[in-house]
Amino acid sequence: MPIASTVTEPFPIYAIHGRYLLFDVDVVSHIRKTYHMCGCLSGTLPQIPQQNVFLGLPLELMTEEAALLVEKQAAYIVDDVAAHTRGLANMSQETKTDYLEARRRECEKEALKHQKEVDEKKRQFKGKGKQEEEAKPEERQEEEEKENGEDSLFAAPSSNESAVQLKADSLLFYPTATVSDPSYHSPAPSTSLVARPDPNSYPLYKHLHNLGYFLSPGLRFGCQFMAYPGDPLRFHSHFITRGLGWDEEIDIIDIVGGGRLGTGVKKAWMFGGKPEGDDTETRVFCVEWGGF
Amino acid sequence: MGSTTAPAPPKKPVMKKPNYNLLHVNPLPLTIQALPPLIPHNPLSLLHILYTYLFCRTPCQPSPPYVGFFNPATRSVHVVDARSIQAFWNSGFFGKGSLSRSEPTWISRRRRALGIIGKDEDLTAEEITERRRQERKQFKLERARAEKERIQNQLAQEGKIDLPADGASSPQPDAAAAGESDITAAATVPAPPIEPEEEEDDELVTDKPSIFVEDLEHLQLTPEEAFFLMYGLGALQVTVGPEGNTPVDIRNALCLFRQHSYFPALENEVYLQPDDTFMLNYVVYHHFRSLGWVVRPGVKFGVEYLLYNRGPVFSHAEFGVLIMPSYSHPYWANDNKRKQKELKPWHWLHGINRVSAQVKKTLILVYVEVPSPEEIKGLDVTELLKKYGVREVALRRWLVSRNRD
Repeated sequence: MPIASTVTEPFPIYAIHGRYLLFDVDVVSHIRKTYHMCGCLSGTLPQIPQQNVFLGLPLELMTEEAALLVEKQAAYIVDDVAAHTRGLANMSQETKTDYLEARRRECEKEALKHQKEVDEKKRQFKGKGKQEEEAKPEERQEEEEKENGEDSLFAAPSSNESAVQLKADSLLFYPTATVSDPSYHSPAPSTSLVARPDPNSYPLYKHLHNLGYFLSPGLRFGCQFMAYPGDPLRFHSHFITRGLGWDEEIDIIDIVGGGRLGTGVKKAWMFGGKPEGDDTETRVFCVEWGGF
Repeated sequence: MGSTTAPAPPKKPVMKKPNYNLLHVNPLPLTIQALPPLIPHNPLSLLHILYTYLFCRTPCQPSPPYVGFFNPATRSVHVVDARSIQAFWNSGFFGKGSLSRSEPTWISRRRRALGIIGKDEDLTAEEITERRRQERKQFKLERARAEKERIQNQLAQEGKIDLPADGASSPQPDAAAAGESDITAAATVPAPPIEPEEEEDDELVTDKPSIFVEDLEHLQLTPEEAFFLMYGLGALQVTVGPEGNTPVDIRNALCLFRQHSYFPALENEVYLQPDDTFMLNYVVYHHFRSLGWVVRPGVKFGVEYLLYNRGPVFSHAEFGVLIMPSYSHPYWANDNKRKQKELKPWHWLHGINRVSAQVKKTLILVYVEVPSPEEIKGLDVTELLKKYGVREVALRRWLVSRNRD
């Protein structure tokens, strides 16, 4: 189902320790739809950091992607650490209390909801137990013991205890917001950072991006970018690419290696570059291994 | 599965390989003289050994030495006389034929094409491989055809399609077998080409033309191979000059090869750098040759050298060698251009490693320590080579999830 884009441009890209990150899922889908950039999901679960098969937010952007987004005036880059410190320091007392109050209210609401759910579950459980009791009276003793055991585990603050205590407990668990407070990411344009992509590979990136290719980092495959003709979820990549400076030398051994690398996985190995000072022309070449 | 196939498959001629163990018995083109056995309870045997050792020694180098001439246009040493070619290929797998993939076999392929030798006589390694591939392709076609036939038969039995021929849908196996030949004719998969008839072959055998074919092929040695044969083994005499008859000594040969490792070739030897391609390559080549490996160029796999255990005819290469110059001598500390050359991008390493993994080779990075120019000024060849150091690092693709044992 198509969702109307709620992202307002320019949106912030957070630069943390030299990485360009996006934390908002709306922005992530927006750049995928509008700018055909996929980035890399890089977040793990705090409890299970070993699992690295399914990663989530934040989305990490390549330097080239961040630079191109800024160039298209779709985004600006925020030094997140500095912005955070500044945001905290400049916060007025009023805003702070308002924020804390809003936070408290939200948590209260959550706690009540949780309490309701617990009550509902308990009621269902009891009802089921009663039915089984009627059905098999000979196993009653056993069932009752089990029920008691589970009961004590299941809901420590039972219904007749005060809701106040429960509320206090639940308040300990503040839900983590996916989007940080707006006061943190509205710095003056003068303070925003500039991404500096590799001057040898950026022209090639831009050229292929303008032709409508989806580009993703290709380190795993031994190249700089993988070029997909459409969304990577639908297509295999056609090219594995390497950007070169106009006068950069390349070894014949690397050409052979690149050709074998591409042909071995049924792709074409591409290299290309742009003459210095000329923005109109980017030339690319494809190499395939003939194996004659 | 396919109940019957129309004709019994013709008997495959068994391709006989030459006995490589006998052919390549010497690992290097040197003759080795065995001393008589030592018999412990017979002291006279010791005298026999001493006598042979002191008075009956023959040099292990060939005499006269094998010859080759340096060709600046191809930057290689050409070996044209049959004795040297045979020695270099059979003992140590040096060089490659100028008209062949590796072993110089142009002459026998040519003679077969002209009909001087029969089609199964004196098969070369390439031809055997080619035939094996053809056979495999044929087998796959055959299998696809049988499979298709089976499906059609099944469909016909179930009444889903009508076979074009008579009685094809009959359930009796005999009739089905009879119908199959019709299906074969109608099948879209092309039938295998008819086996060449025996008579034709006999005819060829009887009218063998007896033309003399001149062997136009020569053996090409890379400068590193040639220098190893000259300096390391003393088995080769390299000549230069327009007529190719001026012999060069080892020191001049080194200068010559080093000058030609630049492009365009250097005119004067004073501009030679300690890290020129020839020096780096030769140090590595010599290192692995002296450890007993058969070292051959590995451009086709994107590496500098390939290491074979006994030789390319016995097994595939186990290792691919990449040469990395290392400038850790303090002299190079301020040379940014060279320091930059040391830094290679990660994606390059991943690419090369993937290519090596595809062909089941282990990648070895060989770091060559480059001495400073002052250190090596005016040294003779052996002293010069001693100044270079070699470190090896083996590299393999390692995946966390696949290597968890």
